[in-house]
Amino acid sequence: MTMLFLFCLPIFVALILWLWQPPLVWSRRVCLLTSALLMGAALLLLQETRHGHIEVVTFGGWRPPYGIAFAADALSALFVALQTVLLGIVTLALRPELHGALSVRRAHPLALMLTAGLIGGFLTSDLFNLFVMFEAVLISSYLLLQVPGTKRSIAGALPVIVINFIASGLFLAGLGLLYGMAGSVNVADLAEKLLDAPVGLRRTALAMLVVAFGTKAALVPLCFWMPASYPTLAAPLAALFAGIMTKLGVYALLRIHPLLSMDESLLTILVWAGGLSALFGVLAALSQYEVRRLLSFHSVSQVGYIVAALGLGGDLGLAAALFFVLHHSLVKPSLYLVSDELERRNATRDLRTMDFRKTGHGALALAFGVAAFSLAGLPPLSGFFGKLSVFRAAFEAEAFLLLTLLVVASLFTLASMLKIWRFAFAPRPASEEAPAPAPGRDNRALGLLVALILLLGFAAGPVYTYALQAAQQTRDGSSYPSAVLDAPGMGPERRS
Amino acid sequence: MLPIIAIAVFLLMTVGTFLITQRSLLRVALGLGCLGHGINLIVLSAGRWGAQAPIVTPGLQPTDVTDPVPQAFVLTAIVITMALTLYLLAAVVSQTRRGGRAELQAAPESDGELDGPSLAAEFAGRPGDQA
Repeated sequence: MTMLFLFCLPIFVALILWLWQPPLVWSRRVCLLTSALLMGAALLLLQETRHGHIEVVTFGGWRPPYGIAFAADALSALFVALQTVLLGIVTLALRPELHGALSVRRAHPLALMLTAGLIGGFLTSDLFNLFVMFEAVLISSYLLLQVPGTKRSIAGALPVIVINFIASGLFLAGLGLLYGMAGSVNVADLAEKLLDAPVGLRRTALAMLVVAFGTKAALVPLCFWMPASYPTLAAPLAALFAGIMTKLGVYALLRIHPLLSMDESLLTILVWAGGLSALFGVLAALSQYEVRRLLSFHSVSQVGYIVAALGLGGDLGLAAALFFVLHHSLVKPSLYLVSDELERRNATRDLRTMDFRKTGHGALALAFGVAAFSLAGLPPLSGFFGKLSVFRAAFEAEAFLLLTLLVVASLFTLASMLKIWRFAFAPRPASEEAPAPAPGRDNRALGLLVALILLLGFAAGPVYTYALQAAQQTRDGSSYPSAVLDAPGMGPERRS
Repeated sequence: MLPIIAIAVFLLMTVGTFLITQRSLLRVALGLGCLGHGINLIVLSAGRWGAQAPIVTPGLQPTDVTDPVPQAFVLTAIVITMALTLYLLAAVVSQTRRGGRAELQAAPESDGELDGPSLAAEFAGRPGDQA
């Protein structure tokens, strides 16, 4: 029931908001209330799945693989919880007086639809259903991209649509091939049924899925749609996209990890794509002078760490990927919110024309410091533990070249954060008369995110233990399938 | 049947690939449609191309009938493709109406300034929005 509530509530609320068109104050309140309810339900789901229990809901009473089922294990519950938290924070950060009344009005129902698609994607156990959820997420994201209505935002959205359309097509074609081989598209069922499939065909089909998910997660060389589009979004929406939407691709890769491990070559490709993304992303970020573009290239780099860890496999690799997802989904949104504030105070997007006297010091500098140093991986912040776990996974797997690549990328990350600091916050020799510092404003969303980052840093031990458990459960090829396939429902019993 | 489908997929994919490499947004939209339907045919051919409809009748062999599941998949995919094609066509119309040419181009780099007055600013908010 919790799962149905999580999936249906945002859809209903979005429809109501569309039809009712309430004054913005109410629209905002309804959104906040919805995200609070969703957060509660997600906590309940985390609680239910904590000790390796898997919740299953079948639709229409058909037992999988004949029908579609939602199944929540620790992995799904973690992603769902992350999404609900981010929805709340983004709603809080979207302010009509800053981002335009019409934009915010349009963004509310779309963000809810995006949430429904993401939650459905995190919960479903059926690959075709996952495809549909991907489309729901993508269509909401296309519309959100055009919400600002500026020429730049419309031009930036079109390539995104084309690239993601092609990726979705690859996903669907891969899915068709898998169905042709196994006669099923349920993740729980596929691992067993694909065992005696022809190797070449299986590799082709899985490779199609990997390319599709890699595009959504923005891996090198499929990442260029992201820096083209994110900078045009309202910053809180960019935070939502970078924080969780690209993670749907990562989640899908984690979910099909048992299938991928049938074919070592695909995992090797993921490791190298991840390593190269980590390095390329950060180098590209270093060369940018526009804060948002810098940050969006950074996302490419950070997703690289996650996917490299995922490709290394093993309990350590998957746990590292999971911990890094948590860390990145909190740090990147907070940096976007800081960039929003920086741009507003300086009335420019370009770092070179920013002025430390306009930026002012105090809370904003502190928030940026915490987020940036966490991203760079300084202890005792969450990024340190994230990187440590990825490095450890690489070390244990004896992937020393990858390890070197990641360490170098990590140094450049620090450099790129220092670049923002130097231009926007650090005192420089003054040439003209001092401009008055822009007034600060109450930014609760940013405060909450920074608090969560600090919390994640201090509670890294228990969280990592949880991630390790979730990783073991994901890799273990029997608990998820048996929970899903033995769910009560109509249809023949499974032959065991 | 399969060779015909294979040729159809080949044609749709080549035409689609050619069209999406063009600058004109209209051609890109049509190309995406072609690609989408080529992929739909691939998924369809993953099911069995039987001679009979999958309706249970006495004496029917399961191997004689068409597999209905891929058809259900494709039905969903067609709807999604149609929605996206419509969306792209709407983008073409809106761009040509504004007097521009509907072309696919790289997002312009920002000149460092904040974006100019957006549509959102052009339309005044409703009463109660400013509260």
